[in-house]
Amino acid sequence: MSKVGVDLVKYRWLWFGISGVILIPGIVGIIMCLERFHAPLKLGIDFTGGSILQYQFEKKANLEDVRQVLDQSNLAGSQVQQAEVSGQDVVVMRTRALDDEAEKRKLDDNLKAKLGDFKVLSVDKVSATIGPELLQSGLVAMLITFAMMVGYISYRFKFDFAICAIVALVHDVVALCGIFALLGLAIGTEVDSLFISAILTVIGFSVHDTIVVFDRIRENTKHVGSKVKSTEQGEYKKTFGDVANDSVNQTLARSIYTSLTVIITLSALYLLGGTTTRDFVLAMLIGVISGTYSSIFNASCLLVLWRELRVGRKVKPA
Amino acid sequence: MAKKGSGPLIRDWKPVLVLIALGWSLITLFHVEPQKTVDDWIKLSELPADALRVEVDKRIQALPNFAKMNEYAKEDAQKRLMDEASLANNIQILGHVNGYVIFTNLKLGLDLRGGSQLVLQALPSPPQVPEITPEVMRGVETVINNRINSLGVSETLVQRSGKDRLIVELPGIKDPQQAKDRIGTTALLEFKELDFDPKLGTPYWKSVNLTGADFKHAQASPMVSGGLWRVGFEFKPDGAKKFGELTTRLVGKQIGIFLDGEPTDRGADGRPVPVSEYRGVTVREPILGGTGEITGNFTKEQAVDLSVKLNAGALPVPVKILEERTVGATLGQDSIHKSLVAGGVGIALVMVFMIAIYGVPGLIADTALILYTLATLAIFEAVPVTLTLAGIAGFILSIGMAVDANILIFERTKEELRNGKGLYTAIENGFGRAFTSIFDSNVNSMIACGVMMMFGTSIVKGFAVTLAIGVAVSMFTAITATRALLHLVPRSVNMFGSTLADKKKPVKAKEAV
Repeated sequence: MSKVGVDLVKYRWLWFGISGVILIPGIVGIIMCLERFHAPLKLGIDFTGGSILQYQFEKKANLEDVRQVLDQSNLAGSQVQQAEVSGQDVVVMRTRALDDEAEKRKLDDNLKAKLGDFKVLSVDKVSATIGPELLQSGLVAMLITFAMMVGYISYRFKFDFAICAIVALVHDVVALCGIFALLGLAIGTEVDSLFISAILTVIGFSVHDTIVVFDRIRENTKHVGSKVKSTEQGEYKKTFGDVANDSVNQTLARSIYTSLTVIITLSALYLLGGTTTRDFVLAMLIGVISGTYSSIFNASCLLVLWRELRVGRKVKPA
Repeated sequence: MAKKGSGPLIRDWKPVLVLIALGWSLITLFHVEPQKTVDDWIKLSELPADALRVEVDKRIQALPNFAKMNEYAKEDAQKRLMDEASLANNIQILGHVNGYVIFTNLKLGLDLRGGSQLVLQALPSPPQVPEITPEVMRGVETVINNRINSLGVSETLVQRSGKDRLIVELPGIKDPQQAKDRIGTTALLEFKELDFDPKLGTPYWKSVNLTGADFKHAQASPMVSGGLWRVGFEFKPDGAKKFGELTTRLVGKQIGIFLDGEPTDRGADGRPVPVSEYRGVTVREPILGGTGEITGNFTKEQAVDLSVKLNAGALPVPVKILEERTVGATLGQDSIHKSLVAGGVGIALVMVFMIAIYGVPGLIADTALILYTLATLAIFEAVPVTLTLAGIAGFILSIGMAVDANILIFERTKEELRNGKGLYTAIENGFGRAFTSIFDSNVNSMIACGVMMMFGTSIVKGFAVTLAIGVAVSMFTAITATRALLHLVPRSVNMFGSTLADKKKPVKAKEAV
């Protein structure tokens, strides 16, 4: 067998600890978001309703002037930001939903009068009535995917394997949401309906990663109890932990390579791709990294822990 | 290919299948036409809708066998020309060679081409329409369709969604605000008479049950002087009778004309004057001819807009724009450019990575990856799948996932070799044993994609569709194609660091043959 790369079982508390370092601030972030935004994450206009206008002014626009125009146009409290699209300055305005077209037209006229002509890069409007509907269908989609994955894993594996895979899955979703909650608090990153697709994709990816490792553990459980010789310990019987260790190390290269190829493509998209999908790609990037980590370390460690607790360190072949 | 020993491989259907797939992909994806033809398409596509219709009619008449054509043939010719005009909106020119143009014909979404997507909701208006029934929706759809056709934008789409919603797509629209104003208003034109309310002690406008629905036709035309415009109208027979009776009864009195409850007269600011200041039109004599005109200080745009709305008909119920996604052409161009760069760099890096890790088999995985990219794009073109920014993200993500299958297989193969198996057996076992994992992973991705397609908004669906197609294609390219190609590599080539094993056990290497 190949040389042991990581000693999974020995350092299990380290692996759980690393997860804790990521998860706990994330959960705190989610709680803070609940307090500040009344939602676990900072929700974007897809879910709350609102308008986002991206305008490119011919002359460089002063953000203070834009704010003033918004105040005059009865849109006080809107956010104004400067952004960049292909090297050009762009003004991004976030207002309440401009449901009345006359109101939108008036704003355009006022902006033109004060700041000169502009090019419309994009206008997104979601009326307040449809927002909660999108959120609801998004959450339903998530729950269904979750239920289907749980069903699939339970069908494929025994009960304890399934539970551990699901815990790893929850780990990834919480890690992803936690980091976005923190981003929302720190730099105002909002989540939209694409964020829900990111979660669904990550769920799929994470389960897949776990399945590859678990498949190998299942295949290798026949070795539990077989005698091996080692220079340090002499002859001893393989425990379930040893088998899990072997299995993780056998699949380690594959897990890391696969994640690397996905991380390479996602990074290219993040750094070079369109600005519209940047947060979406970031969400998948975080999810994929977390998914790889949790299936290598958490899922298998949990499984070993579970078996050890159940049979009091006397693991029989499965 | 190997010498005499490769008999079973030649009889194998897999390399043939791979070649067929490659051929199909290339034929479907890439097109070559003379420069002149393509230029003509582009010229047609740039014409506004009305001018395009005129041009198409002109060309049909110019056809050599026009005199002999029956109605069906004419219709076919018309359809073909219209299709060609819309084709140019969706071609991506790759290069020019010797007076020929090479191009692909992928359908780009609104966020890449520029344009507007609107979600409209029909609102019940009691007491006349207490509930949105399918009949009401059909009425709304017809009117919206009429109005959109008047915008002169090609390839528009109006689609019903759910009980009371319409999705409207307007690709390449220049003035989305004008479009929204035209689509979103009810455009109910009403004639009213001035009545006196004894309770309030003030005059008020009373409905007389004569509306724009009684018009046969309306047309904007310039007034004789002053640069202002008016809208002339002609009643249907019933309406003409009603209008005649009304004007006979009201000689010397006022008639008011209201659009969506607001007077049609415009003030100095171009907005409708307030009802309190509106004086209406004084009827000088009975109008029995069934024609008339609305003069309300209109600019040309306002008059044309009103006439278009009157001709398209009033909406049976008011509509509300629930959702709007407008992307300007500049941002769309920028997105296309960035996606191409990101996709290219992503694929290139993955390919380099595979060669760096696996050497010759990596090169083969890369070949399969190129086939994957071509085949997936060809399917996008054939279906056709509308490519959005999120869709491209899904496609690029699927590239990363496509090589996963190869990594799984190669790692297994290496293990088999380490366990002392010959190369052929190792490869076969590698494929066999990795298959369950690959299949599982793809089932998982498909589940996620299926749910997204069921519940997602259009942007989410775009992502799910491309990812799902990518995953399905990768099952073929990463497994069947890679396997076929691997077996075509001569045995002398060092694969998976296996030459050592081959030298030690030359017999093993031959066992496969």
